[in-house]
Amino acid sequence: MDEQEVIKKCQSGDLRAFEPLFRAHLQMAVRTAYLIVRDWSIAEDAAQEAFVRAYASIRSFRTGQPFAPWLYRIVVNEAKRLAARANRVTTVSVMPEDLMAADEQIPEEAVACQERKRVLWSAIHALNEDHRAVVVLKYFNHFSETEIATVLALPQTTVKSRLYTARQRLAERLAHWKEAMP
Amino acid sequence: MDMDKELVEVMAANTEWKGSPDQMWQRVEDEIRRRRRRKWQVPAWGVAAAAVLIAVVGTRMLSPGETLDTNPPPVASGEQVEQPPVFAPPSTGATNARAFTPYNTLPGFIAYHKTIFVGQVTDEKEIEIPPTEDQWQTYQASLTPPPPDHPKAKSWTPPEPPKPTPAKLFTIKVTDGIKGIASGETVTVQQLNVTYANAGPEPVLRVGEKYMLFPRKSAAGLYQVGAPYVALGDDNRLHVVSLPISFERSAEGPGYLRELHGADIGEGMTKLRFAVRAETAIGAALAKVGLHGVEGEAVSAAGVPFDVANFPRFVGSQPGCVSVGTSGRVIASYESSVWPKSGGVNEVKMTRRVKLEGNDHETTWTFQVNPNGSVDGPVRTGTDLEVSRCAPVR
Repeated sequence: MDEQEVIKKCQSGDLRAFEPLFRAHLQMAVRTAYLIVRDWSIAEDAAQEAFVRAYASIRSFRTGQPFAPWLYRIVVNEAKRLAARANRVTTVSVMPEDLMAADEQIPEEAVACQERKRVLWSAIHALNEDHRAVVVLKYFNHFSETEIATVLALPQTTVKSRLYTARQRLAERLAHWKEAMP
Repeated sequence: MDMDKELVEVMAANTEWKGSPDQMWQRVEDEIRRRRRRKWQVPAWGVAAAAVLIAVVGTRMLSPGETLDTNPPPVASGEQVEQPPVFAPPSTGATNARAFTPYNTLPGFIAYHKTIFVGQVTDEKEIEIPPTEDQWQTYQASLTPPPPDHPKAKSWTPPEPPKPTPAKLFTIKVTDGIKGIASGETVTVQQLNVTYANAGPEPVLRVGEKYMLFPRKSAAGLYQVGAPYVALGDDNRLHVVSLPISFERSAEGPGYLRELHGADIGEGMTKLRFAVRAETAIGAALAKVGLHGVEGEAVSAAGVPFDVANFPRFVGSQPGCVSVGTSGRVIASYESSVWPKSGGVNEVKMTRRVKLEGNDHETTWTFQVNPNGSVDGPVRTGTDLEVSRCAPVR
């Protein structure tokens, strides 16, 4: 699929042309929203609304530019908006079972590794929304700092600063956990 | 495994979506169609009002002998048809507002000092720039009142929302070409009007004057200008996105900086341009940190302040406002002073950039400074601080 050609069709009002674009980005959009709002139902609503808004404003998209940062700006904004409305209490998701493997005999190092991942997952959720957003966009969506600045409409220096602070906090959590280990 | 790789793995592993893309598409498609229908629906009262309006306007336009078939008069040869302005001010919510949103907007910078010239300003016009995302975030964050038992709880009132920042657009005719911009070409730069305590607006660019454009491009696509700091926008025009902080001590005395100009040149770097009034111990101090001579410039790497004895530190700033009632322990303190020009009102504003333990952001606060130079309360590293009065640096 030539994304730019599809976008041009959407810009001329062809709704059916939007479907392949939607399907190409849906998974990542929902998962990104989930990482920000930490709730699957809100994440789905946010992604749905984001795609509706993306189509509504597709004419403002400048063809030739990368589509993903433009789209994810809408996704992130919607996720934050719905999260604020839901006024979530901070919760941490339980890690999926394939990473827990509780029924198997697991070597001690593997247990420690899994626990470390659990701590890291918890630490990601403990970040505030601003720091979590930059971490998600960098390590999950693999955006560059310039693209993250575009998505979040922030100066690049602010993106760098938030990434630095977020990584520091995550590292501190891991360090505390390691110290507390027997 | 290093943390970066772990982050990638942990986030990928914990975000498996089990929903149905088909169902989701159906919902999205239905919603798009529903909103399309709603957009084109005109309420009954709207139709009636439109009919009345058309009737009134049509009656007034027509006089005996005229018909609606009369064409407008043709444009006379040689007459200029008015073209829409190259930059029309964006209306609220307009999607083309992005063309006017400068990169790295940092409102609140003040003054400037023009240097050498390669381009002449030929025109200026005023526009309004909406509040930045950071301003909105700060505003929304500050809507949270302090806890009921906080000493400031009774006096807390919600803050005003951020106001749009006025700016000017200047057209510059480039007289000496630089990389990417040819001689004779005109570029448009956007400047933020800034004011500081009791000194009134100080436009950075003036029609008729010339400014230098440094062909220095950072990874973010930013050019440094002799006075303002410009960025090449998506529209291939240069936009002024930040202005150097400049301050000039009005009090004379040995060992004080006469002028100090800094500019955030992106990538966490700060360029400091300075002039020293006289050879004093300051000269020796400056030499220690690589600042030589009476006039010069130096670049500081990210996070490294200019540690010049007896001088304010300047690391670059992002002015903002913190909620009244915010408190915490000062972890780092940087300050820059703004003094009125000589002949101005004898009041100064000192801006401090502090980081509070437990807070996520480094912010710049403004404190009133008494005419004799003392501050309302000490603000040093380790001080417990609470914001009792806060005004954004404009």
